[in-house]
Amino acid sequence: MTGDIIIIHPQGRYQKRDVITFMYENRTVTHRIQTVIEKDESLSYVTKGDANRIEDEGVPFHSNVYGKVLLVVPKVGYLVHFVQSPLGFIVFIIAPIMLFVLDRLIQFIHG
Amino acid sequence: MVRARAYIILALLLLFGIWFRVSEFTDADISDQVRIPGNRISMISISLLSKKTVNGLKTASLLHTDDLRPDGFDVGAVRIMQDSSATPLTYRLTAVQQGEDNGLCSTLSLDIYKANESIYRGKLEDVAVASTLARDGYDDWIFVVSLPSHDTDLKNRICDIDFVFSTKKINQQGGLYGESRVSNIISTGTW
Repeated sequence: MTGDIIIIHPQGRYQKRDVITFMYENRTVTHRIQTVIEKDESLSYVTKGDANRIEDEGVPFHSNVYGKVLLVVPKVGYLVHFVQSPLGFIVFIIAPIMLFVLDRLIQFIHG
Repeated sequence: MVRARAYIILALLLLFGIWFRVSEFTDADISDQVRIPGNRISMISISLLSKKTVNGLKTASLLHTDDLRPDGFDVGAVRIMQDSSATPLTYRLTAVQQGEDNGLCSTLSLDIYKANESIYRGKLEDVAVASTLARDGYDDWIFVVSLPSHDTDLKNRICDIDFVFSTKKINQQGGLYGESRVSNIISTGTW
């Protein structure tokens, strides 16, 4: 779902019904495997989004698959989106470092 | 103790911050498809064949008449078939003179019989008749060319004229055309 984050892990081989994240036409797509095609020692996967009625047009090869979805954390994606914004960068990266450095400085000054 | 907890919180913030910064987005495409079943596409071609009536072999010539004289005549027959998937196929017979007019073609008379019926009687060069062919059917055309004139200016003349069987099917996107020709060379003698 929109706003979820997923944790993926590469596998040696993916099975039917696995949800995989793969590269297709310079985009990263996460869909479920409908059919595993094994031909001439190469693996490819027919995929389909759960919300879609039809299978995807593109058939990614095994080498284009980043990994299988192991965990889905709902809504955290919005937080990721925020962290990747300039304000989020300040809140999550700059501020903790500054606070830490400031605290250590105060400690140093006060002996 | 408070400081240690604060450090842990800051460290966690930093950890998650770095992790989330390097996270990538993935798409979950939405797609749909509408299927319209029951489409039928057919293709037709139209073509006419001229064949000899005696043996059914293809032919491109009909009359080769020599020494035609006043009140003389010659007879030729040709079988027209359609070599196409169109049914029925309507076609038209016309005569197209080849070369210059020397007066003979415009003088010759033509009688046409099809299915034992006379369907044309008139000048050779003016012929224009239509017929319709069933898919597996054929038409046997019998032509009688005669010289009704005694004009001495028509001695030793040659009339080179083609019978053209043509058909077409036209719609808004374009048209299909088919044609078969049989040539006739009719020469007069002297009198």
